Amino acid sequence: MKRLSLILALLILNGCVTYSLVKPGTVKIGDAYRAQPRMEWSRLDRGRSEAWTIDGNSLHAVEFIKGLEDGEILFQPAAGKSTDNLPKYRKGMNPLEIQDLISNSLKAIGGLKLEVEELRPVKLNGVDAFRSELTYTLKDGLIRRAIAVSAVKNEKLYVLFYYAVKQHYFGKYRDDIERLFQSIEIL
Amino acid sequence: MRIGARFVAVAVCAALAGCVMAPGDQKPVVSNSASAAPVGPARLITGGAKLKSEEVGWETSADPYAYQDIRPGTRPAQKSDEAGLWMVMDGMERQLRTAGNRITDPALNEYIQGIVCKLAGPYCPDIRTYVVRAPHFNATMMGNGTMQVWSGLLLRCRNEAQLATVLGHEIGHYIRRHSIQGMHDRVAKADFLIFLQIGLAASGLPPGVYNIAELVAMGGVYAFGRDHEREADLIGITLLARHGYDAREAPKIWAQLQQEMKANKDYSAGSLFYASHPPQEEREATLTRLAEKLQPATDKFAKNRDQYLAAIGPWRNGFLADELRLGKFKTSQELLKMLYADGFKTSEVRFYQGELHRLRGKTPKAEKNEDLLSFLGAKKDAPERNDFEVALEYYEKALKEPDPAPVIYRSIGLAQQRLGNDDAAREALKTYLSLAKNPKDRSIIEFMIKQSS
Repeated sequence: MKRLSLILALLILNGCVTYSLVKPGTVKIGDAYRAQPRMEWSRLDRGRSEAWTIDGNSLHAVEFIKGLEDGEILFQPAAGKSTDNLPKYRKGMNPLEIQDLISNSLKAIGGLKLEVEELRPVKLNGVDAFRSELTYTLKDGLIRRAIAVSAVKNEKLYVLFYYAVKQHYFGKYRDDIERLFQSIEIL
Repeated sequence: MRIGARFVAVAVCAALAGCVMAPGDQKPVVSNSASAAPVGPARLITGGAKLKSEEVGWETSADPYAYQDIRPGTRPAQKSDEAGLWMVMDGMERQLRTAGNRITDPALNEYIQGIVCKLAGPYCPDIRTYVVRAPHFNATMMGNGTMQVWSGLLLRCRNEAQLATVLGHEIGHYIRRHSIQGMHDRVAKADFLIFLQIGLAASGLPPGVYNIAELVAMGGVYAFGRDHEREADLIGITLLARHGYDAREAPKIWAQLQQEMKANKDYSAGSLFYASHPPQEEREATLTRLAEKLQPATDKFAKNRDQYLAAIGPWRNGFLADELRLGKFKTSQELLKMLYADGFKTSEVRFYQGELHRLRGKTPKAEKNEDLLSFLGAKKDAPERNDFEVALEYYEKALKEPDPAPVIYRSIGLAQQRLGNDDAAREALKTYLSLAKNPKDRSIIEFMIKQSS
């Protein structure tokens, strides 16, 4: 009985820890991206997206959205919460509508006082993309700052979303994030 | 199962209440021996009128715990269970102070706290008001004097008198100590139920009888809460009348809310048995009778519409955007219709009527693929007309109203693009850029215009 309990506990704990190490070099992110990180990251594969962090998800992370298809949602809600009321990507969306999708998705999962501070076209390894910088507040009052780079390729939506606590953490990794984003290629 | 869950909730409440009760201090701090009518400060600040009126149907509501009104500037005795309740609420208030959805704008807060102080008189320093960005019709009062005013309420009130009705109601909850009364009631009913069930089990009755007992106990808890709401309504309208506000505005709030809710054919008020508040129809009717009694129709009383709209005006645009994000298409449409009829910032209202259709984005033929608002929970009814065309009509109307905002052209551009009218879309977006002051989306829109040329 004790052994069974121990095995069950180990299985449950094993289910919680799915991070793996990302080493500097060329890294594939599913079938969606190829990146060239210059530092080590912890990666958490969530299927339709993948998160990379160094100090922990609640402080900062990059979310790689791996090519959304028509009708799919951008961010997964908290465990147990329904996805019914979350915004969905629709093919044919223009950059302003995609920005609304990002903003409304953040609001739907608890982002408050959201402000889009910058919205401009950029290139992502030759692909037309656009970039926005946002600030939002969590329910407990913590302020986050974020960068979103979005591109549509073959009618699929690709989003690189970096968020961090505005105080200290956003600035701490900003240069590394800019370099990481510059290295990313949509496959 | 549902009943079971409710019983568990009661049991948890009872257990929590038990945690904050020191042995031997089960009684309220100050007990009012027999009278069911509120006495003391509530009468004082409402003008000394008898609060419970024979003219209202809930005259006989029980007050078995015989609590006196809280006195201004006081806290519960430290060893009391009420002090324990306040301690928990103080913790909740600390979280509220730094909450991400709190509106800290000094002008709006001072305006609302000013009304609270006018109504509450000597209780003014005891009641802290927090304005919260939450798009639902609501205000709350915790037993320790923490009041929340939700932005959805501010969006729906038409004047200061209507807002004061709700603020007065919440002040009534505080003065009459409804939090501690409610806690005692839940504990008492849960205790009674446990003993009853032990007795029923010992007597060998089948388990179904326990469920009936649970049902009765739960119904009693909700009924007690509804009586508190009625009492707070009465205090609220009495305060309203005493301070020169037009008491006839009080029932209008409930009439407006009913009109909004009934716009949705699927709306159901739910079971009265489990309702936390009395039905809106009852509240409207009761407040109408009380208003007629409190204020002669021939006299003129204050609505303070201009003051209210001046305070809310800078915020309403954001509140309207929040409302649309809820995805309650039919009720939002009704609300916007009423706000338009009210006549304040009509261009803003017309714009959001257009936004509602653009975001819903349904077309008669391709509703399944084009429903941009499906994530917001709108039901999939086949519309008679293309939503983007209807949106454009509202935007055109918005442009004809006074002070149209440049953002209307941005939305015209997006709707035209959805309809495949690229030339019209480009023109509208160019107009937006020429009129808007430093728009943050300038470079991306210029890029979009260039790409579609």
